[in-house]
Amino acid sequence: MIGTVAAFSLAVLPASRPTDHEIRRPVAAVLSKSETELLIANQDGQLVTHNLSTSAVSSVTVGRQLTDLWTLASGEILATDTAAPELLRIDPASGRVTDRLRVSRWPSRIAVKGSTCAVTSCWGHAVTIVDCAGKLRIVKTIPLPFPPREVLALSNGRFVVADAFAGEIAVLSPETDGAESGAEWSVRRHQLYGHNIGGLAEFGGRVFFSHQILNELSRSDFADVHWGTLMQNTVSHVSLESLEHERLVPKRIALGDIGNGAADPAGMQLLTDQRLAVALSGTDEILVVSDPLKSGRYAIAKGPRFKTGSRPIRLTANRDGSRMFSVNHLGDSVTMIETDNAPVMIGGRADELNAVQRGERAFFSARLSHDRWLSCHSCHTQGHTPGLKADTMGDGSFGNPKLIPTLRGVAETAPWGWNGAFASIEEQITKSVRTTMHGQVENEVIADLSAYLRTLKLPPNQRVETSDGAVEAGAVLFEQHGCVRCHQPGVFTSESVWDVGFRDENKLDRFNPPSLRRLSQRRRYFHDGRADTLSTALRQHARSLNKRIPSAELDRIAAYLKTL
Amino acid sequence: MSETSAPVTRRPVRIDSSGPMRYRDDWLESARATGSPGPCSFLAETHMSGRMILAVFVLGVTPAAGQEPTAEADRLSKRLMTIADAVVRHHVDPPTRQQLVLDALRLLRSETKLSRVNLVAQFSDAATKDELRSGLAAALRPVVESNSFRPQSVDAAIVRLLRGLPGGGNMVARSEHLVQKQVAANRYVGTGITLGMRDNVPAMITVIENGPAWQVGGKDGDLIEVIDDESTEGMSLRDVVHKLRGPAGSKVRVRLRQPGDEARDYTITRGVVDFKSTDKPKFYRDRGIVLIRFSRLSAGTVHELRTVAASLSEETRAVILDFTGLFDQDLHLGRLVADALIDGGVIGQSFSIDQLQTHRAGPGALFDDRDLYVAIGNATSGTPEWIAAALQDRRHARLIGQPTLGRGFASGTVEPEDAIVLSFATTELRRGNGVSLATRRLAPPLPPPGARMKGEKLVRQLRSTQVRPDVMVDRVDTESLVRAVSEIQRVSNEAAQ
Repeated sequence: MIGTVAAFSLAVLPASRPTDHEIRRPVAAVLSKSETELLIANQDGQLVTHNLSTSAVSSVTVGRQLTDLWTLASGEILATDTAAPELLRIDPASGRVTDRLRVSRWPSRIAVKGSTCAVTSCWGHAVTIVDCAGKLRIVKTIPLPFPPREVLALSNGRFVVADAFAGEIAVLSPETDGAESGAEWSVRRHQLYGHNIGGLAEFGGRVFFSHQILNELSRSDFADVHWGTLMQNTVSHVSLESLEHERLVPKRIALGDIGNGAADPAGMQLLTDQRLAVALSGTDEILVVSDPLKSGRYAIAKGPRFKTGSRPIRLTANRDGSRMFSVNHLGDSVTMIETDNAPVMIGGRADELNAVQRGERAFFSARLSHDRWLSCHSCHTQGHTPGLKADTMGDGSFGNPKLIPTLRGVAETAPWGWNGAFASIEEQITKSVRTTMHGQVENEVIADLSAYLRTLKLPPNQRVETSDGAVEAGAVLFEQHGCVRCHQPGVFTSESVWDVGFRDENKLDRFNPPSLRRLSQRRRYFHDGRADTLSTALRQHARSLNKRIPSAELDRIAAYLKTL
Repeated sequence: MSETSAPVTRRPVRIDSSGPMRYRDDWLESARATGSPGPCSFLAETHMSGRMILAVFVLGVTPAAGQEPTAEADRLSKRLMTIADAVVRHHVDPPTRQQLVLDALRLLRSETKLSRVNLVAQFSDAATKDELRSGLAAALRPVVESNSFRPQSVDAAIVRLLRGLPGGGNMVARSEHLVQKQVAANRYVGTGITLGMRDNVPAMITVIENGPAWQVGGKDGDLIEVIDDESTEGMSLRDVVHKLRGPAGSKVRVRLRQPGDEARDYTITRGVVDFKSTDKPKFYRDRGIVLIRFSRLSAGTVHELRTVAASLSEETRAVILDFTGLFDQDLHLGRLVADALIDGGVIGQSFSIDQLQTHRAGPGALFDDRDLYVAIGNATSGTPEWIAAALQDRRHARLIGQPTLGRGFASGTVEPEDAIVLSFATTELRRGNGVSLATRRLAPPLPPPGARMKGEKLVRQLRSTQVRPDVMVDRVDTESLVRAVSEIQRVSNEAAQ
């Protein structure tokens, strides 16, 4: 049985490279067709080849910012370069890029079925269908109403795509020959109760999703965290057929238990004997679920855990499932778990991390929380927001859950908190770690987290189709109606709290105006998420301020706001 | 005790004390209309020219001129006013401050065995809160001067006052409240025993499995003869509790003995005790039924239910959640349990002093692949009634047993003083459609002078807020419930075939 752990960090850190403070951040790994080499994509654009027999390592720069890899039946490699934004075909022997295709912006993940490839584009809210039989060729670009990240090719020829932040999924089905140019693809959307979907897998006629569930009825007091009520880490699975139905009724496997949380489940991989390996990216472990197809609607995972490097996000295995690799995104390493071999620990990153890098590790680590139930990333998914509400002490009381804010661009939007109670970002972090995560945290870690948050950049805006002149007219109206008083141009917020006609359950009636930048990448609005479209939000806001603004003007303002 | 001993004229007061205290305005309004006092009302308030005037219905005695309240009476009056303020401010259906003050006074006189007197007159000129407190201080003087007056009389009166509120109430020491909070969070720190007296000797009635006492060898029925080198002989149960309690990690030495056996000495390290909120599930495998009996709700309840759900075999077709012994309970904990059992949509509503809240469950429900039954009885009240009503309304479970008590209040806590915590109804619970589960109006419009409220009417009022079972069962003991569910399952299976 699987019981041996071998970690080798040099796979992603070639010895020839000078030691510096840059982490390469491996994002994906695949085995070569012969399964003798492990190919690793690093976020810095390098493709590293690690010979599993000789441990020889070579690397070549193939792009600017890689996000995924895939081995084709021919042995060639597909990779996504999100900075380009391109899909690359690579000859693994030479490391040479043999073909490249511009796809929808910000490509994230690849899945291939036959000669049809699906590439998700997170911030672009689209999936690009590519024919990869010959020269790479776009078949179809499918827009989605949510930002997709994980994608899985199903055995029935369909693709399932998961929300990068919240719990939406979509099943993409070719209506005609999927590889035909201009083929029709249908999109069936489902809501998977939860968020932060980190991995997909299919076997035994079922489709598995690793994700988290943030209970909006729960509150972040010690008891609700301790008893696993606030944040559940879980694998949900549904039958393949049910994805064609209107409503999903998933079975759930709870990961972790009291005293031993399993924060931020990510990539999954089927192993021999139908066991399911789940990367626990928040606890730096892999959990091998021994009986994932157990009957019953609810199960608690049983099986061993294996230690990995920092933040394992993806798993890959050989064809018979006897050898598995985890990609440790912040550890600059890959962990190998295999049968029979004696444990071998090879190297590890020796150079000292700087404050930002330490802060990034802390952000994605569940060690900051009580019993490792959650990390900062669990709520602020990828530093962004899943659009959920959480009942925390961030506003000084329980009973009035507030929308989780995005942290992208957060450094510029003082003060912090919906009530504007935190003059420094460090105060806000300290409050969150101590009263939401119930963790012990030292001032040095707070400083590191602060340093990391200050590096989080705004996401790109979606491209929005608008009528001629609407954006310019919206900008004028925005100023004319006095919106600029609270949402001052620049960061589109202000340092005061304002009474805007709302009142929460604890009578809070003065709110810290959220920054309006990148509204096109948010899905709920206001402190309690009461509006789920920007248009609704503007209409409610006008009503609460007793302003009579014609509908056409509100539409123009909305068009303008989507460009900020 | 009092500093002065001025004579006080006492005169019996004409009141009907046959029923519980009732604080409804409709009594008062009716009393105004008839010009007669209600069965339990001493006074009513009316507003005149923006000032609060106390209308006197029963003539009484005004304190003798020149009398000054004693320091003790003054201190006590401040305390009672603080408590009255807390109730008026936070109770979901509060009586008036004047009613609270006068009832507190009446109860204090009762506790100190003073005869009934007319108290209202002393407040007849009180138009402001300060004047009310002055009047109260004056009226308290004979109480504190009484030979029967004891400090605990005050606490007893306050507890009786709170218990008489709609939805009941209580007052506990802050230390006790912390223990209650620990138990609710299932984070109780202690030795892990339930304590009692056996032949005047403190005894471990039950030793919690895996708890600190269990781990060192404590057994059910052990007599506790010595605690930290001090004999327990003559020690009150309260003192024993006090000596056994302590922070996590601290140690306590005990000498234990099973009756007739030799003594055993142990050192117990206090720690977190896993007090389950449900009994160990009872599996009736031959009938395909599992019964989970609730003793309370705690933060760990949902986890306990998840653990049971994960352990069910395919043969277990029916799950009985036994709420028959479950009453009151924290609304937040109830909400989490309801959320775990209901697959999305409205659970119910809660109404507190200034807001109406609709509670919604998230998608997914435990036991939704089984036939779910919830057993209720006439002791089921408060939040458990609310959960049962939600499961009934959403058709997620069949209710079996007998009608509930119909007292759908949820309590909150207030800490008006440093050392004490008051708990009373701060929230009224309602079904998802807005129908109240709380008997807010205990009394119908005031009956004619001299007439007593018919018990039948009261019963009818209560019934309107009860949660009624889908299947009535004569008895709600475990065997009867399992038998009833088994029969329902058999009939359902036959019908399905």
